[in-house]
Amino acid sequence: MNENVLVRVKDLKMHFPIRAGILKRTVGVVRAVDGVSFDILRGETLGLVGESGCGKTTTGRAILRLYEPTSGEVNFRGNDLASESAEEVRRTRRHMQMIFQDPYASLNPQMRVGEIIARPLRVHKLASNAREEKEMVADIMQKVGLNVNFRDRFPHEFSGGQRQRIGIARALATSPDFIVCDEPISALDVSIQAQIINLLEQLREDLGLTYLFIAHDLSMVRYLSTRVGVMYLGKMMEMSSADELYDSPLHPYTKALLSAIPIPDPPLERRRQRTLLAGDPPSPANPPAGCRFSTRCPIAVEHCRKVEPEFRLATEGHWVACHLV
Amino acid sequence: MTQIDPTSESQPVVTAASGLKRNSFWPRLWRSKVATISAIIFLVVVIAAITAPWLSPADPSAIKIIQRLKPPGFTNSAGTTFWLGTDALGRDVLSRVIFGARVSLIVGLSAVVISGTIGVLVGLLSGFFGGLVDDIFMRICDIQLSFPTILLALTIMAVLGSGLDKLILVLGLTGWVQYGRIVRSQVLALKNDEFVLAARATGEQRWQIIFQHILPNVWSPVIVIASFTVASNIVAEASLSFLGVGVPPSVPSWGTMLADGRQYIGVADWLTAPAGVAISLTVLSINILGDWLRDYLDPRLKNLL
Amino acid sequence: MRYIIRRLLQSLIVVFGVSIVAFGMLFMTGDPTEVILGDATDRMTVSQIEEFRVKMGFDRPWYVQYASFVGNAVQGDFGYSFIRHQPAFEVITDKLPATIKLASVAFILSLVISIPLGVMSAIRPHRPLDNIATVVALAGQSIPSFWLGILLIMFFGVYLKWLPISGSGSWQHYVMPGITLAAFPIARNMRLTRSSMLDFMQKDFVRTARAKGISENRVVYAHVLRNSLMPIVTSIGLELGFLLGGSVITETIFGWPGVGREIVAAIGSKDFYVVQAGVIMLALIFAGVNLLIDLTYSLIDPRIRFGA
Repeated sequence: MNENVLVRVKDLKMHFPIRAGILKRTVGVVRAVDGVSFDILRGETLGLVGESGCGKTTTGRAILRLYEPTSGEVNFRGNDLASESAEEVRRTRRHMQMIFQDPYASLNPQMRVGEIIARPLRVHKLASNAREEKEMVADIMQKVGLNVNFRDRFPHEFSGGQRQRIGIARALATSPDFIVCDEPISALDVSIQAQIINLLEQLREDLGLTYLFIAHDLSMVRYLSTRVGVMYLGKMMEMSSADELYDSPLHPYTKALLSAIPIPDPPLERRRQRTLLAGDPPSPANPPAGCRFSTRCPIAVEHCRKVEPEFRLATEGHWVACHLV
Repeated sequence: MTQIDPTSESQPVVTAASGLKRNSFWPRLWRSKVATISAIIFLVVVIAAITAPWLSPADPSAIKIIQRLKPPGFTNSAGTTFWLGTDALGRDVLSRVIFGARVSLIVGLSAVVISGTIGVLVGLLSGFFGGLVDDIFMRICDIQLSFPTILLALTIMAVLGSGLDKLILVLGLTGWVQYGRIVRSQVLALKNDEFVLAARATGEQRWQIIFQHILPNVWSPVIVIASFTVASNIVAEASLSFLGVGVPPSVPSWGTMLADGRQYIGVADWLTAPAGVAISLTVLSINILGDWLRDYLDPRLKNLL
Repeated sequence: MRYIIRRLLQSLIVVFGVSIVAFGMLFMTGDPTEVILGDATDRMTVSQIEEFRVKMGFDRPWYVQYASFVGNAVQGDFGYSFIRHQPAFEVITDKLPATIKLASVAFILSLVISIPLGVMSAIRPHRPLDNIATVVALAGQSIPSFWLGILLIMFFGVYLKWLPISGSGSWQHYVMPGITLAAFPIARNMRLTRSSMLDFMQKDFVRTARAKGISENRVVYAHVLRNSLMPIVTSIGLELGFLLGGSVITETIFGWPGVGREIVAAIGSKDFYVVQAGVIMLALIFAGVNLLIDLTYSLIDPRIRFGA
């Protein structure tokens, strides 16, 4: 494997059974993630976008093995996580962390901030004594812009942006290589979003981090990401470098998503052509035959409804799953 | 929810309600007159129970048939005054009431510790792991709830024979279901919260997640139930002792005192009053404190408890 | 339909559990022979005790004993009471009507007294009437029933001589045991009614009703009260358990010839089969009524039928 590849995801599938009845028989499966493959290179930020329910969060969690993947391979630093025992994965968690979407729900309301940040240190035995632990916590708090004097306060005493900083500090505590950022700004006020984005970007540079940045909003992703992947109904639709994806998108779904971004320039904004997608995405418990996007695609032809397109290399570094490009 | 104010981003936003919470126990208690009085009553009972040997004017078990069934205020030839009179065996009622507080509190508190420990443990595991453990737990709950508790305790005590230790064990073992059910429902709600997922992502082990992350979040209802069950255990102890299967008749308990006194209605009416008042006041004060505690810890619990 | 099947299955498991617990009681001390014979063992020779053990089948493995216990129980055979000289099952069924009558009276009392009081309290909260009612309710929840019974006997029976202090027969006999048994549920239901009425009065649909100009009486009775009674309705099952359990004490105090007093008397005379039969009967009645209540709900409220 290429030296530069930190995470390799190969044909990852995550199916959740639907159970019903007295005997809890499985009556169906939700194909939340249905075969996605991609690499994340050391030092890059891979953006993952899509509508809610497309499986992007599930992908992030399955990579960290917070879910047991149904099938597929997740290779982290050259080791296949899927074949590791629960205990081995637990120890590997030191090197891969997660920042959560909801800064209110993701912090234990009964723990003081200092404790929240110190837990990862204790779990992985990274501090040799209480004093060292205290220093490390103070150091991390400083890094993410938290006042060290607030270490004995409880999460509810902080604002949303500060809570997210606590969440980031927790993720940073073990000095990981790789962080999954699961929509870390979508629960925040717009004015705070930029601060958090800047903080994440700065931390990436200073600490040499690699991000998987999950978002449903293409505009922020462009600013942060080296490359961007677009997911729809559990499948990857398109993936390329961020600039290429925004300047010359190939997939009709990507085009539709991009056309929904307002342009901060009134004359241009007036001329912006919007491709409106009809209806809601179909249920991942019962995805359409052929191309998954065919039911809402403005250019779909008969062939699209029968044969599923392959995820293929269209041009250098630009992958797409569509028959018509 | 906390308001996000961009201008004060580096200052913690302390909301009035949440900021009060952690250091306000005594001031808040003090502000409620009823709760304060209840706390004082309960404290008096606790102190009486602890200091019973020094506080009581006479030996509660000293039998003197000569001075049986004397009314309150009776002074014998030796100059000892019996402020609450004497019972059918000539024992000092006041001393027996004071020692009765001991039995009540020992049974009430120890049984709560037993049932609370079992219930919290089972509720945590059953809620967290689900599956077979949970199914078995729920069925045991159904079975146990189909026996009126007092009836179950009564029959078990009848077979085992009376005794303080047995009584504690029986009340403890029959009372855990309540805790188990409430803890289970709380855990079911909590275990899908992101902070639990975050703990897993951190690399915490299961037992750490259960006992160090989830458990601290279920204390409120447990404390409230515990306070109510101290009261109901005290009543249960007295009821069983009243029926003759609780503590042995020789042990001074409020329940046995009422059972004894009942024999002499019309002859020595004062006999039932001291124990009756003692148990009612104790239970009342604990119930009021429990109500107050519930509203203090989490008013939303009102719909659950 | 699925709910009904699940609920029936659940009841079956409960009945099985009840049988295990009732059967297990004999073995709690380790030797059922000892439990059944009680103090009589002091007067018996070892061989007599052994003979008795074999005669009762206590020498067989426990699962064989359990099977024959269940087999007999289904046919209404719960053993023979040597004290009553009557099958234990008959001893209990003879007393059952009295217990059911008393519990019914207490049940009705607990509703007709508590709900109007709760409504009165909730309509004018924190006024003198409400404060008095709240204190009385708290006291009612805290005074143990056996002391309340004794107080009633002393006051109405001994001093005033208005009411008979024990036994059954006339309607007067129901008054004191009925109130004693109902005191706790009255207090609880009153507090439930009050707090849930107060909750509902804050709800939007009530405010809307007021805004529409509907008279205050109609708001309270048609909109608030109907919804507020739900917590009481759903706790009927629990209340029943309380009434059956409480009957043990109330019947003992007032000499009421019911199952509860019979169980206590049987415990006193070590008449174990009667105790066992009584406990099983009360538990089965309780489980049966709860099943009925749940099934009735599921017919009324479709939300229960379809999961939730």
